[in-house]
Amino acid sequence: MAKAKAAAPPAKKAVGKPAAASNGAANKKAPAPAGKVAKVQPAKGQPMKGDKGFSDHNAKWLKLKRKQPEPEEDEDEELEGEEDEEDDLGSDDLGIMGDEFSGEGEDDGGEDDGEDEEDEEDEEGEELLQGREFVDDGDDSDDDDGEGGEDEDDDEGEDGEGLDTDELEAMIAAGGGEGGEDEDEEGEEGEEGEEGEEEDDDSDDDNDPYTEAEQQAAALDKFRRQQAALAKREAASMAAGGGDGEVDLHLDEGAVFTLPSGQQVEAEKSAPPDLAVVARRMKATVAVLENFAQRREAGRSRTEYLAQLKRDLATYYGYNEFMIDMYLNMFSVAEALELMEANEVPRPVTLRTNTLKTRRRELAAALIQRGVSLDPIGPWSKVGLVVYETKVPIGATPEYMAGHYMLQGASSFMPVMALAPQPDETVVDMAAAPGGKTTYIAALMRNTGTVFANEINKDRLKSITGNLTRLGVTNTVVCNYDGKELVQVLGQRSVDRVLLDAPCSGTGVVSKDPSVKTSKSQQDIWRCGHLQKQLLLSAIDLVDANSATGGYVVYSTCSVCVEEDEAVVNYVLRKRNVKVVPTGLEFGREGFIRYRDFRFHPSLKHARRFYPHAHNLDGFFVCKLKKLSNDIKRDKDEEDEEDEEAGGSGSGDEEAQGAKAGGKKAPSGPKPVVIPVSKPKSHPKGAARVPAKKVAEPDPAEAEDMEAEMAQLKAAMQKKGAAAAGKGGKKGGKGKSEEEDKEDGGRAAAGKGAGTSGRGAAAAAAGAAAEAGEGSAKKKDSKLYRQAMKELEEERAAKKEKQGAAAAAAAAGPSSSKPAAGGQAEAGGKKKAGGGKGAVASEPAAAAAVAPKAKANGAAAAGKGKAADGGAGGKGKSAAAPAKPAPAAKKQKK
Amino acid sequence: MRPLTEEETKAVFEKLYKFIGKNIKNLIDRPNDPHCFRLQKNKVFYVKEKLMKKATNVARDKLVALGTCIGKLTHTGKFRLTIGALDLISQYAKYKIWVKPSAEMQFLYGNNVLKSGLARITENTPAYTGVVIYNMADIPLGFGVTAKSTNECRNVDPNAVVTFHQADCGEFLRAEDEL
Repeated sequence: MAKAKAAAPPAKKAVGKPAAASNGAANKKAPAPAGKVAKVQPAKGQPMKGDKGFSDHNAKWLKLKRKQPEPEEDEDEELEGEEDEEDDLGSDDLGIMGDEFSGEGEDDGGEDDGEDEEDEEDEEGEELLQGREFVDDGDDSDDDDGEGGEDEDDDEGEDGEGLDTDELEAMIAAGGGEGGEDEDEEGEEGEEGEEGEEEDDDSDDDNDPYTEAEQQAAALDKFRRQQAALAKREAASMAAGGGDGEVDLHLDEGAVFTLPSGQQVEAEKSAPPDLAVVARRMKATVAVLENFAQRREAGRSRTEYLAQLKRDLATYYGYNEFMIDMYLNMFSVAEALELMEANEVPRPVTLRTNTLKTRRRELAAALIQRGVSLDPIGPWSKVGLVVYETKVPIGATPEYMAGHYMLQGASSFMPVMALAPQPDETVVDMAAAPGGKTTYIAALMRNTGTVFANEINKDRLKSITGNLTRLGVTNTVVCNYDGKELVQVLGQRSVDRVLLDAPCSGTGVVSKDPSVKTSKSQQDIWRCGHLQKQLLLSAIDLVDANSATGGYVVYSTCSVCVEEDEAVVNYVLRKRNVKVVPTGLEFGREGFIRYRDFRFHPSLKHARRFYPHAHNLDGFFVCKLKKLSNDIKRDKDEEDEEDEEAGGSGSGDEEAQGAKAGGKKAPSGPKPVVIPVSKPKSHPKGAARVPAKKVAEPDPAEAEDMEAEMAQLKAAMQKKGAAAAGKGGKKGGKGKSEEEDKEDGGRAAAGKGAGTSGRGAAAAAAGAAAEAGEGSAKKKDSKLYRQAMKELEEERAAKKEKQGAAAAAAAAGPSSSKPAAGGQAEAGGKKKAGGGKGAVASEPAAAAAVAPKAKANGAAAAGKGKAADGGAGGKGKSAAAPAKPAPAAKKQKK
Repeated sequence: MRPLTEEETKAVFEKLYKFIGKNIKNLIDRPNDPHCFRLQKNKVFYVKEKLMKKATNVARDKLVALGTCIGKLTHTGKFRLTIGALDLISQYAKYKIWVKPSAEMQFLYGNNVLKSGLARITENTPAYTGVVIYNMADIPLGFGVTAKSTNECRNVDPNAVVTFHQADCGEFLRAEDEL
């Protein structure tokens, strides 16, 4: 708030910095604090504050800034002129803040702006070179920063936060270290800290006018709290390190963030939480978790850190355990933190032009005249406007009443854009209230054709009719059915497109409804998921696959839970003849294909997910389905099931079933009965679920049993063995620690791999080989799998020799079964070397992949009665084995 | 949902006639895109025939709205235009008045139009006839009934009512339940 006030030129600089900062982080990860700084800017009384310009592009949209500083232009500036500017922007690929400021500089002819622009660019340049930037800042702001820092330090010290000093130091080291290193976000945090200082210097005298303007007192408080924390950290690091090189002293040099002891935790529980401490500790914990091997405190496990982090998150943000777990399962810790931070801040106010009554340009002009400052929402929408601030109530202007626009979240544009209704079609909106999407559909259809707006809740019907009337929509029938009954009412195959914006748990719109933080549990999610499946099936039944123009269903939720999103779609993929098609939306993250122990159809990558922290939209999910045939898929589905059970799963969607097949390897052959149990069709999660628990630990006797049967079921066995090999390979490449008690490494890998992917399973990796292999193993997942498959075929062809080798290996190591496993791995390794497949990087992983395969062969051989004891030993011991073969194989390589 | 009876049709047309005069013809005779009037739970809808046919699938108690709701029939059989009819009658309106920006919000809050807020008025508007009210940007805001003819308007007290309020866009916010 105070930043821009400092005095004209420094103010400029202060403004420039965070702008550059958020640009540097660009679209993906502006760290939350940086975002906050940016947010506060517009209220900072920038000298040139006026009404916003109007251009078709809003390059800033995707950045997580709650309020963007935008190029200011005079109120009466002609739209044409602005277009020019926008053209400039458009031509410039960067299209970022610096440029916009420059454009503005030209327009206003202000010298200040020119300078500013230079500043901006400097900053930006520095931003790009994080390390250097850090140093520079230290240089030119040394004195005042130092001062401010000292002050801050004192103040904070007096506050007496009950923080023991080494913890503080540890965190300082963490914070300081981050700045210089290669991590973008951390660097920005560093800078953030400096910002905070400058700001805090003046904050006392400048607060009042701006808080008033800011309207977001709560957010501000938070912001200030954080600033204080950051400033303190920064100040301390300045004091300690003198600013430059010292700050780079890194955690990996030995400074370690200390987890609070159990007593401390207890003590904290009894006392009211000190949020500043908690916030700092969260940051530090995240930093540790990001580079666990180097930053952790000796003897502390990841679990302990995670537990502490969860406690802190619960304290700081007020989520319940379920929500925290869900976020942490879905994101890396750092990203989860970002998301929660983003959830604290409201999304920008956006509105959609009603193209039935006006055009965006005219509407913007009219609103600007009323003292609303707005901008186009971005290049992806022709009708959206984002409102920065307004002097009049934006929901009660004459234009609003006359139906020229609809106030609606940017996220709710997406499903309709994905639906892309065409004129003269028949479209159903199955859950229509309050009519935002329905009116958008009608507008896209130019009031032709038919729209059925259904809503089950009587109380919400009024809002639909109200909005339809207001926006002048005349092609809509509003009805009040349960979505599931609609098929009976309208008839199967009666419509061209259906939009199902399903009722959901709302875990994506926490910023709108904070009660979600505490009110949701796994049961709620499953309940929602169940309803959503019913509705989606109903929606698909409504659609006519033979429609000339349509045949589409768009499924969207404002939840980020996989159980409500991909799992639902995956379920209907099995139940109906539909396929997932690209949504046509330009951005958003791909849907999950694998999430923990879920495995979804690969086409689900066409679905789109949106997150508050990444896209500055509410968290939601959009998936577009094309109906292929009007037949109901039931029979085929059952066939599929049977196929799978028989072990003859088609090679058509290997990727999807590979995991399944791999997971089912052991039980599927011998006891087909197990499958329906372990993978019930009506499993609450409804996905192809890898039955990790149930089959994870067959006892040795059972294993032998299986082996015998496996030998009998050779054909099926080979395939599944291959899958298992692929899995094992992945596993081999990944950390081994969890695997020790699991007989079937492949299955364990399936679950764990997904759960921990990106979470640094490497940290727990057994050896260098495993670590080296991991990256490539991840990258080459499917390739590796196929490769392993192919190899197995070859291997099978050359089975005689192989068996000889395996037998030899088994014979070589009867003294101890571990060497036996090693020997097998060796055999595999040799073969690998002979095959000469894979880049050097991938070799360890590939070799590791081969190892279990060899094992499988050994097992098969055992089934045949050759080298029975050796083989069985190898199999039984494979618990211990996987850790070994990898290094062994690696040695072999050399 | 059912067609209007003779009496109901008469009531509706009489009311519409006040606002759009002979232009009613344009509402009914649309060879390319035939429209009809339908009654559903006291509300009169003006709706495309195609849409109406599709809506016949929907049970009466489940059908909430279709096409454009132009008004309500009261218990006594009178017809009252609602704000939904604004789009329709503003297209064909015979008499219009424009209000000054200062009086715009006043009208949108449900007040009558005073002479002081009157910016323009169609020539030769008689007293006690239906008019559509626009703001200076030609956005229709609502409709009402003139209290004075154009000539009388020229020389009346600034506080005199020029147009009685009947319906305005503000109702979308104030009275969503009654739409």
